[in-house]
Amino acid sequence: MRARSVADRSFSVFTWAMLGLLTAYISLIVIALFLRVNADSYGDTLLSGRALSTIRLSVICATIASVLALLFAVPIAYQLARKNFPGKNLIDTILDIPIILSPVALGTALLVILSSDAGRHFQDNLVSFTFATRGIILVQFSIVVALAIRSLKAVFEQIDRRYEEVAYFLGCNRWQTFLRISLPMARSGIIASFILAWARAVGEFGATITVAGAVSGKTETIPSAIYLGLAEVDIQETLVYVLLLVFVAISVLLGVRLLTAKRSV
Amino acid sequence: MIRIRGLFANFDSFRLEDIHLQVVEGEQFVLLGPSGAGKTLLTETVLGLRRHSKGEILLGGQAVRGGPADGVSVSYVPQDLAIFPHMSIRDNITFGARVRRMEPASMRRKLAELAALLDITDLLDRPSTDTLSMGEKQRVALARALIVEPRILFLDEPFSSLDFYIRRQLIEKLHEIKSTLSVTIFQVTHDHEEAFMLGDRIAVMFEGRITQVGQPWELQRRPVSLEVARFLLAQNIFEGEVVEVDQEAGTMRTRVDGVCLVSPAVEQFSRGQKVSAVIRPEEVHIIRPDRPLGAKVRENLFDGRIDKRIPTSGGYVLTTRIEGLRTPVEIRLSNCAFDDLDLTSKSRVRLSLKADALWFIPR
Repeated sequence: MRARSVADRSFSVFTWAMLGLLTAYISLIVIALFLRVNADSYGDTLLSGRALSTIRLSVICATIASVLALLFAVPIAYQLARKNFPGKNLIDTILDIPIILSPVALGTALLVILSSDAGRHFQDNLVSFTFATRGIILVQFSIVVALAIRSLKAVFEQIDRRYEEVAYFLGCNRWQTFLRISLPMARSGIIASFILAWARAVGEFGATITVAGAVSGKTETIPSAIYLGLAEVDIQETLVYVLLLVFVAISVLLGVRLLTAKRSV
Repeated sequence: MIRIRGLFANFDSFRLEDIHLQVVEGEQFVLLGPSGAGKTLLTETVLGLRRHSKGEILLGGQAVRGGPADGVSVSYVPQDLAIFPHMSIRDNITFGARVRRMEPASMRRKLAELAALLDITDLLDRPSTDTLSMGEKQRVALARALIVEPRILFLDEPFSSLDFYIRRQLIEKLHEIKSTLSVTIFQVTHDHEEAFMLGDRIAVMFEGRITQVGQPWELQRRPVSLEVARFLLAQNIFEGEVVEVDQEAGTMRTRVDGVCLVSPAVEQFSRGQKVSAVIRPEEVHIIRPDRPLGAKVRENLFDGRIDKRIPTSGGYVLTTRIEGLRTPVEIRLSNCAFDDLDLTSKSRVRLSLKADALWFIPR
């Protein structure tokens, strides 16, 4: 019995130690960032015209991309969660590609398509994406839609289909069942998905710089500004942008955690 | 109202096989069976929520094929009730009425009537379903199902998670609902008491098949198989052989171990037929020596001894040994009868296995 008690205690010490080490490691990174930034740098960087334009562009693009992503992701995730059909696994896998693929690789693939004859014709006559704001939105959408589908599928799978069946027998058609039962029950999950998608879009860099570049005042997002800041060896400005992304990440994670804790299904 | 003919359906590791059922208008029909018998699968198939591979299902005259039947007013209360968690109690109950665009005054009147019938008037103004007890949720689910005035109400194990007292209350409510609203009810349960209290007719289901359909008394006294007999708690099952059938006198004698049971003749049996004799514990009588014998208990009188005495909620179950019979005989007595007989363990008793309560299943 004594041997088991020692083993139990050592296991507990081991798991606590691992937890403590990793938390300390991440916290130290954030604290070190804070300590390296001069107090004046916050105002100098964040209130400059360039920074305001960069932040505004990041927020606008991420918001549009996330809204578009949800418009696609909600019905797709519902369909995947509720229906079994031939080829479902294949479709599921295809939809997951943007999550697994390196963002630079995805950006390169998009760039190649947009630079092809058909792509150029499309851009010349309809909508231009390369080195344009629309390119940032396209890239961010391509990445976060997959993420939104994945998280929303889990949300809809958690909602017992009995609710929909009961509503159907009470007189709802499929649209009414979806709009009056499934969607309201998934509400906090949808909001959490939106926040996650938005945060991922704000932080997107690899694919964005490949397709849209980092033209100051035109296609420069916060991650691009960090990259350019490093290239120009402007450490103070770079660190302010990094801390801004850290702030976004912490706010998002706390928000999502609160929402999912409140979720009733 | 509901007609099922030759229904077959395949699921992952389960089959519904050759189901034939008919439920008439205004009937309260109970589908009874142990857990895993396929009751819910059959209900969902009849509702059109699951596909069947063969056979015909008609709900209110409409065929169910690859989806719920159109044009028939059906309500469904699933086992977990599926009370909408994002709505208030009032919104839950009136949901169907609002979807069907019921005239507001008529909806309010209907809501008040149902709330009064189900004793949930006090709950109507609660903004959330979180604080409801299981019994209250059950009533809310029933009210929600009934507000749309369905022709057929499907109830899947409606009282399974309730304690005895609340269950009894709701069973009485359901009787009231049926007589007040004249709705056809198709109910699923694994609980015998519930089935016998509620069912006009009962279908017994085992492993995807309907084994017997009949009125409660038929199932209790005329089980068609040992499986049904055992499931319906007819614990006294004795294997024997018919030794005499007197069609003129209308009697039959069956030898079981060292005793002979007399019973009304069964037409299809002849001498030498191997049978299982079944009698429910409630039909075995202990004869008081100080009282004259009633006409119905004069046959099949045996001397025995009480072996075990197990208290139950309403009385006692006694296990007795009859001289010459290897299988023990179980007797169910109310507290009142038990006290009246002044019995103790190991008491010697005189037992009567009522002739007309004996039932024979060919082996």
